Amino acid sequence: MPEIVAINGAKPGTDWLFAEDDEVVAPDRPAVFSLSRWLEAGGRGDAGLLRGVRLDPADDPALLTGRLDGVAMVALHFPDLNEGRPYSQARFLRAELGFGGEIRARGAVLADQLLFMARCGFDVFELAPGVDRQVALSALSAFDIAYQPALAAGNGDTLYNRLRAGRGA
Amino acid sequence: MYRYDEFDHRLLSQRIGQFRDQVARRLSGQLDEDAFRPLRLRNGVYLQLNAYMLRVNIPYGLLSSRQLRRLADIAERYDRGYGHFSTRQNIQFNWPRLVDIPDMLAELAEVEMHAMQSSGNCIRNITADHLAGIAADEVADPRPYCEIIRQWSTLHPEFSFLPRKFKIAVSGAARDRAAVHVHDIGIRIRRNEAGEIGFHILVGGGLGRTPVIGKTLREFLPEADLLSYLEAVLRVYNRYGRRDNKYKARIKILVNDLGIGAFAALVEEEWQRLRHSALRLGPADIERMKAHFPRPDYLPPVNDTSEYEALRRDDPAFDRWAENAVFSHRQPGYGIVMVSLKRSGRPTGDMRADEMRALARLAEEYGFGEIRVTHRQNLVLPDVPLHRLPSLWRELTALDLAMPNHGLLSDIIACPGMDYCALATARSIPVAQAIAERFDDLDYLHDIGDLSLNISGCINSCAHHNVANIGILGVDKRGQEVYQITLGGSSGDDAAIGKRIGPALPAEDVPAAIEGIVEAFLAEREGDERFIDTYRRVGDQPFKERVYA
Amino acid sequence: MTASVITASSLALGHVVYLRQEGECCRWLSDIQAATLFGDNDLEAAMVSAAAAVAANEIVDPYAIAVDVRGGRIEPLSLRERIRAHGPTVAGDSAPAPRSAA
Ligand code: SF4
Repeated sequence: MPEIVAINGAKPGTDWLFAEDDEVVAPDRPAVFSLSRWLEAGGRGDAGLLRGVRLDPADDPALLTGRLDGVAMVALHFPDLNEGRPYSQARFLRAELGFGGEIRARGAVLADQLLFMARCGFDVFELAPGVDRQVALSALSAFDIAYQPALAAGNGDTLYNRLRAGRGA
Repeated sequence: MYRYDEFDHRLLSQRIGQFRDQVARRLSGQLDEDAFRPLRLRNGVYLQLNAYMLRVNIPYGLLSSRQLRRLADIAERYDRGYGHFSTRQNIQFNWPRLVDIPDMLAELAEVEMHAMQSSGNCIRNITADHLAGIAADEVADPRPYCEIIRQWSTLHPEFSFLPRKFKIAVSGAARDRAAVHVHDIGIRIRRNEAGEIGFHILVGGGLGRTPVIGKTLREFLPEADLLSYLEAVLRVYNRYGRRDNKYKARIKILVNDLGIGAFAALVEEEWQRLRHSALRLGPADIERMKAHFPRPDYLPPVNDTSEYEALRRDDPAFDRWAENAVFSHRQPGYGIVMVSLKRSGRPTGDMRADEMRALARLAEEYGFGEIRVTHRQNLVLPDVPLHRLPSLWRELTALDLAMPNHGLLSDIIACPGMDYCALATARSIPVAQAIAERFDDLDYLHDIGDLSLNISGCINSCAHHNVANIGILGVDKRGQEVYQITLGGSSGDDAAIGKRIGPALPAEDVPAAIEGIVEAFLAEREGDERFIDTYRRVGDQPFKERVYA
Repeated sequence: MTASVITASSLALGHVVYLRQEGECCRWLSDIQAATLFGDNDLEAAMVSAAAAVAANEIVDPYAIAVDVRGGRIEPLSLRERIRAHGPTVAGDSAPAPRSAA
């Protein structure tokens, strides 16, 4: 089990199965599917089932437009620490699709990226092996201000708006 | 100049605290080099050939005398007593110790300077026309917009892991002095018929192994939409830019692969979603930022300019300097003084701490305590009363800072090359020095006239050799340094990529080759033609014949 | 005679350093003349020592370079490594003192 850090009240307690595309999944098992499997299956979850979708960096999150009903979490994958696309995916899910469920970072998730991720809308972090939980938590609080309007999970954070009301830009 | 408020100071001090912690974790082994490298790069720290290197931003080329003094202090306390001005309005320290860098950054923060995003795959220092706010041909002052962009781009959560580095330059004048055509995004401020401010946006320019002149993405972007539009461009790039091959990862490759039309359509789609978001700039936002860049309290022109006129008549050295190094100011009675960092026997763009302090004093005594940094590795004293030029000239001469070679052949741009840079394939500074030595006759240099000569130590082209009238690129040929020569490049409004004229030459043959090129030019020249115009008229044949005779 | 020495950068300071093997003990020194010479047969073992120094957060990016030994003096074959050993070749008073003298 990887070490998991959650913020903004996210509750990442579920024991998710990250299902392969050809894997048989018991209907009541909380499972995370690839984008293509999710769309092939109609892009809807049945009431009462816990379902998640995972995106690779090249996947287009716009394909989830109207396909997030019954999705409790979206997992975004960082193949390495220089990967930048999931930041844009997360922001799109929050800002454009209004997704209010869990957005989870997986893969090369190191302490020093967490704050950027959080500000793009991630709220759950599966830390890469060897990353210390305390270090991760303190990295998350390295800054309490920012120049940009950023998205905290679920709500349009207006820190920037408040600040710019009284300052330059 | 922009003054930090409590918010800016707090953000920067949190950034330094974060970096201090990252360095400590690196030294204790909690972070390995692979994890640390992208973190240190985002704070301007390279591991170079001989040592670490710290690159400090000089946003849009603006420096106060207080800041320049602090750079001098840092050079002495933590480095070897000098700094190197780069081609992107940065200063580089070549010998800092990693353990000292957090302290250096803290001292810089006290004078409102930083190294954030001066390297790494993120939005780099925002550069601008070094004559911003003082040029006679200005449409609007680019500095408030540069500062708005600087703040927006600083620690941008979505764009801190781009496919590759990203450079933005802004020009507010009729004539481009910011090389906007060779930036990832080039911005030119314009006014429409209604007199409103807007931006002509160029995209996909850049040098390196695939030199490209930027293409127009939008003719006139309304002022209020600056940030939302930049955000849209960056988002398209972040999403679609290639990440599989570092040589194909710049935005210019994406623009070329998609075609400018398809790229523009993607940006447009993204922008429509963003246009009315919190990024929209209101008139009050812009006014507040403009208030940071007031016009200084200029004095009325002094009518008694007899000393100046007498000296121009009687002292040819002063006359030459006044002709070459002093530019017209938009304020009557003032001049703009170029301070050349291309001195004979000195590395291009280098300045010692004692010289920095002396120049800081001159900036205060002869101006409003301000210094500008140009992308040709020179400095500027922006607001000098004309009647004080004679005494300023004497002081600069005593400091070896009055070399009247602005825009001439010996005003060479040279990157650090293999003397310092870990990526280099050959040296650049010694070649620049050898050429400058060969062309040390000022009369001859002035006869030759306008000519740009740039030398890069590898294909990364930091010295912009491919947009110089004469470009020199050092390459490695089976363990030997050899130099390719290109002709016909230009970086201004008539931007063009230079063409190679033939096989590469060994270092010792380069000065003679340049001499041959100059002789060919003088033989072909009509009237007072500039080198570039002669080249465009006659082509490269006469030059090839001299070099490869 | 040509041989190899192992060079790297010191992690904390960034200085160019060379491996000197003293029995089981490894030292990383800035003077190339103090470096241990390796041949084809013992280079691999020396690189293992270097990897250990990386793991111990002493040095960064170790690699072997070819050197020429003449009259007891060690001189790298490539220009790049000669610059690393002796410092920049640029003229002028802002050029730093040569490393070997530092
Ligand atoms: S052009 Fe090459 S050698 Fe010169 S500074 Fe850039 S990367 Fe280094």
